[in-house]
Amino acid sequence: MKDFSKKIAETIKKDHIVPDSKWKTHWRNYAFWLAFSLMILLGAVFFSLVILNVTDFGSELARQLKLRKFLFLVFVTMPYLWLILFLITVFSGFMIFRKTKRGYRYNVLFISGIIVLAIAILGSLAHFSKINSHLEKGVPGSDKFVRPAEGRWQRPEDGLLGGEIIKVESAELFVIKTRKGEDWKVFYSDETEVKRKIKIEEGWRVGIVGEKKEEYIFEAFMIIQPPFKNEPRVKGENKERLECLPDGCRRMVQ
Amino acid sequence: MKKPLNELTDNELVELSKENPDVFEELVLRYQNRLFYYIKRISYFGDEDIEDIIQEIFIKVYRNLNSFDGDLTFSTWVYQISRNATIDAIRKKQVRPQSVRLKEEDMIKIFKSNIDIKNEFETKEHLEEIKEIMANLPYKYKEVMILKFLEEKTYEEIMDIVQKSKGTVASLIARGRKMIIKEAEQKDLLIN
Repeated sequence: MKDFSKKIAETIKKDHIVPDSKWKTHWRNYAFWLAFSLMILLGAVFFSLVILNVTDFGSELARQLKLRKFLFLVFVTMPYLWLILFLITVFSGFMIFRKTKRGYRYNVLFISGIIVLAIAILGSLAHFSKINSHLEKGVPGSDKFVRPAEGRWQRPEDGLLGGEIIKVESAELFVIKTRKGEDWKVFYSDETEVKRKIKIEEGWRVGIVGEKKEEYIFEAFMIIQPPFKNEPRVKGENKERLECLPDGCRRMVQ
Repeated sequence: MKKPLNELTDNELVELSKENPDVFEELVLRYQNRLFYYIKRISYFGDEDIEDIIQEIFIKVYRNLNSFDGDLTFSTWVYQISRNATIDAIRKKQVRPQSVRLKEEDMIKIFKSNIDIKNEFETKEHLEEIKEIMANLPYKYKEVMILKFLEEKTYEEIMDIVQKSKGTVASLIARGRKMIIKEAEQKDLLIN
């Protein structure tokens, strides 16, 4: 085999080849790390939204419903959008990590584990610091988008109905307007469990666990605060907010 | 007093080469032969093609000296670059990597490293069968076996050269070994 050493040194000198700068040789790796960090942050946001939607059920509702029904509702109203986006970020994070300079050294299980752990920790922090709740407040019209689980309260066939009381007919009957714009007559009695913060008055938003009797007629077993209790709403020109304090809830005009 | 170049470590030569291309000559001298035979083993190229590839590799190594951070040894790093450059060259020439042609002694060395064959006489007697077994071994197994048994690299070095996890490397070697043993059993080359 020929000796190239002299020839290579000559080529380097003749063509004025110089070693590329550190930045130039490393930029790809920096870009991958940046993309990886973004994926972790995005994944944490999606994960916190999954937590937000799953915890929307609340322990009261879980106790009221039979286990089978509760599990069924969890399954059908699972925040699949966030779950899918969360899984996409885990997968993308994995692929990007593999492209980093020494990403090949680690096996699939290790990388996936680290990514899921990082996302779970950051996502939980985002949940406990209520960053996920602020997301829906910060983005106009995002309530349905951020909380797809609100749709749980639009399932009268499964015993869940939610909306705003628009008329109190008597001590046993009131009418609510659901998010879909339907008016439902709701019958209740002394046996109906009304959570202490709730008042059966116009303007209150309620979640009702009960039974559908006929089309637009519902019997309430339990009335609770639904997860959308504090949403601002527009009435004419005024924005109204329902504010709940320990002594009860009031509508506040902003 | 300055040490002569041939007494300097690879890392010291890398640092000096950044300022003085003449120092780089020493690194080329140290590695050109090893890389020549390595590329010959993992490709189907003739000597002239390999010489061209090697020159390109060393120019690439020089350009990328600043990305050598000591995380790998220089040897592993240069093998990694050589492997990638060879695979690129194979793709460009559209030569299937499966068509690697190993020398007889290399084939026997890999074969013997994996199984216990009867004796030297029978090795020669069964040369054609051994050649057939090695020729049928898929490229991905052959590549790691070449690094392990011919280039005598450790698992960690192979992992960095082929850029696969250590577990994957170990499993490729183990599977390759199983394939060789199975074939050898079928051809009655094993001691029972």
